[in-house]
Amino acid sequence: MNNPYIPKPVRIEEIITETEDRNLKTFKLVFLNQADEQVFRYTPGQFAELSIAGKGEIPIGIASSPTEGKHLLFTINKVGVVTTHLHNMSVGDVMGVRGPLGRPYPIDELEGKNVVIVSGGFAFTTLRSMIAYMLENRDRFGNITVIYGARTPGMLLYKDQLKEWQDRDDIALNVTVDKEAEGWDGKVGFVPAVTREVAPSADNAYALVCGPPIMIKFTQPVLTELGFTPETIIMSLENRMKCGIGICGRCNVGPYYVCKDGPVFTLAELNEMPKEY
Amino acid sequence: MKQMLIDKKDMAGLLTELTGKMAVIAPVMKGGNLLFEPITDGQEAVLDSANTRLSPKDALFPQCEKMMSFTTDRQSEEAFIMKDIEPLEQGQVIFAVRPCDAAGLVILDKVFNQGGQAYEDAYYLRRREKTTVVGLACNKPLLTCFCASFDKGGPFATEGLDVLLTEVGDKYVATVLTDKGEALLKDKKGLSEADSASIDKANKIKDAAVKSVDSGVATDKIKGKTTMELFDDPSWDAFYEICIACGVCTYSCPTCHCFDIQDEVIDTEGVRMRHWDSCMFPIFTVHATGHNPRPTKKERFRQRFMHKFKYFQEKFDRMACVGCGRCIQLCPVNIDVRQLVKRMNS
Repeated sequence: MNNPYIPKPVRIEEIITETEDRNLKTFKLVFLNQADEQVFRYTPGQFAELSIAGKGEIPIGIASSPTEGKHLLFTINKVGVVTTHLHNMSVGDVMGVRGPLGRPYPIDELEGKNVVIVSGGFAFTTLRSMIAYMLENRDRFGNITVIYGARTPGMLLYKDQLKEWQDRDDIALNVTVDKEAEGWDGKVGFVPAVTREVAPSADNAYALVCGPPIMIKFTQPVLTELGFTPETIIMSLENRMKCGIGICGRCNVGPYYVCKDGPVFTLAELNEMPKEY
Repeated sequence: MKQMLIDKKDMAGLLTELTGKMAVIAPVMKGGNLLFEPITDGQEAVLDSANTRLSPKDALFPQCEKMMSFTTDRQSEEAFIMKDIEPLEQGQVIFAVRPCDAAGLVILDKVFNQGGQAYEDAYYLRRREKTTVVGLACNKPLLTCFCASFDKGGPFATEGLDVLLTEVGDKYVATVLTDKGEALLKDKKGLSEADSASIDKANKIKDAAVKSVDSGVATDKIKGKTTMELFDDPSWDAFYEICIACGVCTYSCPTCHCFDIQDEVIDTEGVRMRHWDSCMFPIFTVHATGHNPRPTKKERFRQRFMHKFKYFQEKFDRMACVGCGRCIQLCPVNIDVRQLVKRMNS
């Protein structure tokens, strides 16, 4: 019998320090066994349980896109026991990955539509996966508008990638920071205000939103003003999880398990469930 | 449906015979409590008492269970790689399970096998496959019993059982319900075909027992209410304040199935374990950031009952309660689940 709890061994191939506070690092992981790599078929929006023997497991959104090759990228904030240990690990170390888990972004539904990405802080990781996926399959999507904010220029993720996207003419990238900063000539202001300023059209469009609760709270009314309906605003929840397969009960909210029925939900779905996330 | 007779005096011998072939788990007195435990001698089994302190779910979903083993010795080629632990090499029989507890196992079956390999709990299902469940009908239900409130429930219900025993004087009528039950009793000493007088007697006992479960609660209207209507009901305030969040209701419940996963390491050898957990505890849902989606006792108390009677029904089309009454018996502040259900259904 298949045992979905067993993590598959992976090796850390590269560690990229993303932010000036050094608390956010991206880990590039490669499967030790080819068979495991072939089975791990994921879609943007999904997550995986990262496992360090002796320390435990943590659910982390997948930052890479399946179109980018055989490796997996995870951007990890140093905040708890497992993430702190992970931050102290080195290239070549072995750990485990279990997944892919959860409901991804509804790619089929998004095809042929304009897609607006709204994100703040390190929640941008799973949206990075979605953007990379769309750019690799560019003809299957309409206009792509990205609004992404960080506290300071030094706190922005994937700086090289952002530069690359900035130079493309088939994606409208709007990167913003909270306050004026030396050497920063881009947008300044919080994500909700920049969203209002950019004013992406809601016609034939979906908005994919992921960020801290405060950002979501103030962005949602702006999107509604712009004409996005609860059915076309797609969010991603974060809840405490363990099993990742809808059994252990920890991430239960209303009739849903965030790990299995989510983490991706439409605002229409969220409006029908308790605000316990 | 095949019905057999077993003399009470032969039962201990039958159980002892079974212990030679498989693990036999039966109610035994331990530390002043009646609990399901493995036995090695049929004499240990207590079959003439009321319901056990804890349900037999532990036999399929242990309170503490090893899931994987690993080494952190960097000299080893296997360092940091998790290895499955296959549970239960031999089969097991859980003996004298009351019908409410058997229904609890049916509910757990749904939770642990949600279809598709990615959602199958291998540990539970591997055990389940090798487990035979022998039930013992309740001739005299307790005042706290409300099993008949649920579909397919009742003191003689057969759901989840492979054999149902009915105590009739100095004999048991054994009703064989499944192939597993048939295989268990095949060629066993002391069994005979049940005569019509014994079957009639068993049916009369059944009718009397069914009538005696009078503390039923109506649950029919909960399905028609919306999640938010029940969630926002102000009457939760009337119930949650006296709760001391001890979690005994969750640990004694035959259907509660929440768990935690933890690693334990001694020197360089480790195991990944899972342990029962409880939604009544504050840290159950707290995020690494410190944010807690259910920050006070009110939200946690409400979650337990909303999950059992509303969310579970939406997901699996039945309630996650079997009316065993343990949470009523064991609650240190006398919270009665029937009062809550009554309120939710009103």
